[in-house]
Amino acid sequence: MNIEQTKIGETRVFTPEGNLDAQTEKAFRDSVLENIDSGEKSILLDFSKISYASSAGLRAILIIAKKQKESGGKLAVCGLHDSVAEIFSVSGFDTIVDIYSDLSAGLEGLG
Amino acid sequence: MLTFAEEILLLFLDDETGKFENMYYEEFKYALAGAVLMDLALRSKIDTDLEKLTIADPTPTGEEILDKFLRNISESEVRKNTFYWVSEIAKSGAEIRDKALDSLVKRGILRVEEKKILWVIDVRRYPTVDDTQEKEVRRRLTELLNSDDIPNPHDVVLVSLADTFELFPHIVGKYEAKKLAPRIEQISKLDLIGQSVSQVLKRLREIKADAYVLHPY
Repeated sequence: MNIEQTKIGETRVFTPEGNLDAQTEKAFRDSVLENIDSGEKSILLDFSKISYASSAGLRAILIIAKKQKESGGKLAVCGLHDSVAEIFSVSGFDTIVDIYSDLSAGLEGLG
Repeated sequence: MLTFAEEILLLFLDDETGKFENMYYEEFKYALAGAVLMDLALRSKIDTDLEKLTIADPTPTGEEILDKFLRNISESEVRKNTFYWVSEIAKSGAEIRDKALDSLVKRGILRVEEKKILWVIDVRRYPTVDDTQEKEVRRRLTELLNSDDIPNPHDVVLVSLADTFELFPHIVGKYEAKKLAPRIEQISKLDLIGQSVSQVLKRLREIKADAYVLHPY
């Protein structure tokens, strides 16, 4: 899985590409957790290039959200495609993490 | 480490009598089937979405009962959804239950007690010997429900199973369970396999209710 990382202001933005499922979730999870461990307090997951998310992918987000909350940092997700937004909604993940329509709204929300 | 089937059995068992809490086997077997699938999912062996259940890694887990169903799913020629597999695995509910109980006895958590009712009917019960694990699960779940902490995936599964099978009044008390219902629902929803188990059970209860309307006596 290709995971682009950029720092915009105080926020570390992760833009993974492809499917977020059992085959790819570990690489994604490790990459974000590594940054939380090194002290990133504001993290935005830009899913505009994610076309599919499974329950394994959701578990990765849960682990990331838990760790970031415990470390006192902020986390948000943005740019969900319809099919990914549906699985977030059905599983109630929209009550666990803040979701924004796109990158600029996400950055502003974390502001 | 206990499997989900073992953990859920401990929550269902009355510590002193060694009998299962108000639970019909007909429903209980779905809890065990869900527990098997959730164990496979958390060990990254299967993956699910809103429509299907797929194999992520067919290599064995080392747990006999999990590997049996992992093999069954791997060998299935047509890809089926979680709802189907919960129903299918539930057919082996007695085997899953017996294996989990054996394992808990071997670990020294439960003991076997054979009794006769009316001098004729053999009854086997499982009183608790060491309640450390069960107390720890109850403490963790109670703490989680009374906080706004984000749960770990393991506890999401336990909350989801305990909610579907109405165990919270037994775990935290009736009043607390009612008060905590919104939080329980929020956590339960986070697990897609748990949602399928709940749907199977809902369907089963609807069928039973229809049958009762048609044949009330």
